[in-house]
Amino acid sequence: MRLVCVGILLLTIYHQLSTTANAEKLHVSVYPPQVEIVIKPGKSLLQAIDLKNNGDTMVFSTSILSFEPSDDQGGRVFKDKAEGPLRFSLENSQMGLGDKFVLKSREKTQALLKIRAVENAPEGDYYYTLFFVADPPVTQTTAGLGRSYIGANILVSVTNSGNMPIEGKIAQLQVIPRYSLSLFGKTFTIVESNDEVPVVVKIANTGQFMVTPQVTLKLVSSLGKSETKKLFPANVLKNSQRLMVQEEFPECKRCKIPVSTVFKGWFFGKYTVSAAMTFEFADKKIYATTEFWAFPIRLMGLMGLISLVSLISLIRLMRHKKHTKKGGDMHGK
Amino acid sequence: MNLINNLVSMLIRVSIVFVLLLTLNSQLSTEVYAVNMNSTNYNIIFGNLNIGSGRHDSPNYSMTTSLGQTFADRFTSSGFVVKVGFQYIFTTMPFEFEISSTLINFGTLIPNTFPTPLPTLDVTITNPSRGYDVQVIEDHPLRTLSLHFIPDTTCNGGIQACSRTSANVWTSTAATGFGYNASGHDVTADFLNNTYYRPFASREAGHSPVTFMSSTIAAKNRISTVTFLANIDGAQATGTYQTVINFIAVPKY
Repeated sequence: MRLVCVGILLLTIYHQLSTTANAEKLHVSVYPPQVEIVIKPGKSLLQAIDLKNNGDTMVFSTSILSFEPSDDQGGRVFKDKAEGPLRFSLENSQMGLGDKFVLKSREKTQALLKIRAVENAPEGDYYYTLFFVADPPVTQTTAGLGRSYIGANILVSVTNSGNMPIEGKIAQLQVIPRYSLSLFGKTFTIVESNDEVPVVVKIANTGQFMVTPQVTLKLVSSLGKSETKKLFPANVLKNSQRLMVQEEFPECKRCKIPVSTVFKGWFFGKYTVSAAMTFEFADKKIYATTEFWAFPIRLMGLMGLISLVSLISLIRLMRHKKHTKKGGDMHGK
Repeated sequence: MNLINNLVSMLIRVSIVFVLLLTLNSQLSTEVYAVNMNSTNYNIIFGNLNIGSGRHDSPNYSMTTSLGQTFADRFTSSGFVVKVGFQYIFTTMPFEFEISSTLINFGTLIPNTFPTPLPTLDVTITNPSRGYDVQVIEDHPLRTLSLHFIPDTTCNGGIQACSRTSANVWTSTAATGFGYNASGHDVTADFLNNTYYRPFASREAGHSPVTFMSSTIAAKNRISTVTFLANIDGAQATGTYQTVINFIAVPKY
């Protein structure tokens, strides 16, 4: 009997000491992934954001951080906390911001996020991400413990009148050249006739409110033949630039840097690329154009080389014949 | 004969009553597709309940539709407008994030020897509407409770020194430290192959999270494999070394 008790005790102690976490699988989703809000100072609203757990049962919590755009491709830098004149809280009865909750496998929960703009909040945009944070596992071994954050963007514009001036411009419209030729103070962009022609379009927003430009690119040949491509209307946040990208991006072997789109085909002569930018619910239209030249330079070079080699061979042959003839004449004499 | 006639007549009656009941049911139970919850203080906007939606393009026109959508146009209330729906962000699909394992187990580290196999995990992202970023940052370097550290790697060092945003070659077992490699879809270009590593950004040191996987276009089942490497020398104090690695997945704005 004593032996059995000691055995059970030892087993319990061993179990307690050797507690190791199983490798947990995280698989979560949020909906909606983004909310765009225009709000007056002093007003508040409620927004529901769903979290679904398709992985193992885990402990989650919520947090909100401010962010700023960090590059021209939709990247961001997070701040340490939610800054600005917006106040956030959860209206769920069982869950507050930062509180931990268990979400079982295959279950879903909804965060009812209350967003309030303080009285006299300065007009302008404020950008946040609502995070659902999955706690890391616990283990007794040398290990890295994965804590996971999944975020939903909350883009808030504070305005008293609802009037949000659009201050967007086309900051860059460029064809990536194969060759560049500077002549008479002008730089010519040249591509091979069978090249992919990558185009970069960057939109700058110098205003205090984000803009969502719709950009259409048009390629026109000197013979009047044209091709049009629409770029995805991505948000350009305040005081930032953004590379606009085609939604279904074509494969591009020549693209060493991020580009907006690629024109493909066989090109010859002068081409004009124009960008037309419009905005939702606004009459404002902005245009920019650039041009490039396309020639089968490699083919022309090869043909030139062949011609040169042929010419040299012909000259040599003629000289050889001449010498042979001279030699024959000498022998004849 | 009479019996058969009676049976047929009864069947016809039953059928007529059944059809009548069905019609009545369909009239009474007309489905409602829109949900709108208002009060003077708040307004809850749920995701759209679409019975049909899509984007239709031809060379001559472009049109978006979302039949049965609760708020097909901008939703306006007294003092705010919320854009959350198909017409504006072209999505009815959630943003999904998956990590194959949240435990990166190094087992027992042997001085000047790379662990085999190296611990790995897969990161999977699905965002059908837009691009995404996955960032990573550690709480602090690997350390014991008695504050012995395994420092963050500098890779092979010298001309092959790496930084938080620029991977470099780490093949020398004499070079100690802790770092990671990434391979697969959409990983940053500095991870040229599986010998290229970066040290983690550290919250304790006041760093910002660093992106290692990113796309500017819509993504479905984009998978990268993150490989972790920790290497010590003979002078490393014995103990259990741990840190928390934070993986941050966000949709592009």
